[in-house]
Amino acid sequence: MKKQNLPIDNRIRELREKSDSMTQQELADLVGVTRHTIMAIEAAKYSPSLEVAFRISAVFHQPLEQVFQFQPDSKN
Amino acid sequence: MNLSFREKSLWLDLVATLVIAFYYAFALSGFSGDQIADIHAVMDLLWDVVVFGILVSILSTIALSYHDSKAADAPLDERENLAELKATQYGYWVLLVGITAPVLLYGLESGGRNEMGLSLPPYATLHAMVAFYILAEILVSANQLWRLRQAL
Repeated sequence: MKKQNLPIDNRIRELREKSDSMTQQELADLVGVTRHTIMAIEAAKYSPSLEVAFRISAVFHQPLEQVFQFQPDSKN
Repeated sequence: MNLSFREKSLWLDLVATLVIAFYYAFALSGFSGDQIADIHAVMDLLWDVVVFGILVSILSTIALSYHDSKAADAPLDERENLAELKATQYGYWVLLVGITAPVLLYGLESGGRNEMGLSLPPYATLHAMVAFYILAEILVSANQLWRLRQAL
């Protein structure tokens, strides 16, 4: 999952599945990014901006720290 | 391979630039000694390259828009913007060298050529600038493609 060991992990896939199996494209449309960017964030290959992180959290009606977790031990 | 709209667009740009580069190099290598020194022949070749480049760019944009109009209308997102920004930075350095090197060539051509025993082909500065411009374009497209594949 974390090929590049980015320090930010997330629960987006799990939250999508809980939200009536929301697709990556649906989430991308709601957030205003491309599906490939959602794929990259989910796979922890790309750390989103604070704005996009908040937008994703808002889609799932979750606080930011419930969606994204900072892993200080991981090396960037 | 599952390519995004941006990646498809970049691949088209890259292939078009490579085709233009080969066309330019092939045409130039076929020039006779007289043609190389003839500014009209050189400018005709440059004109062909510019027109071909614009045509390919327009046609590829139309084809991609027809293929996926929704994605074509959407602006770049933050990851694509970041990839473009980083790749353009590399392109900038190539262009910087591309300006400096022809200036040095011009200096050699106009001033010190005889003393240094150098004999540059006619319009070497012009060809060097075109070559660096094409190289910068290739680098920017290829670097963006690589970054988007790596996620960034």
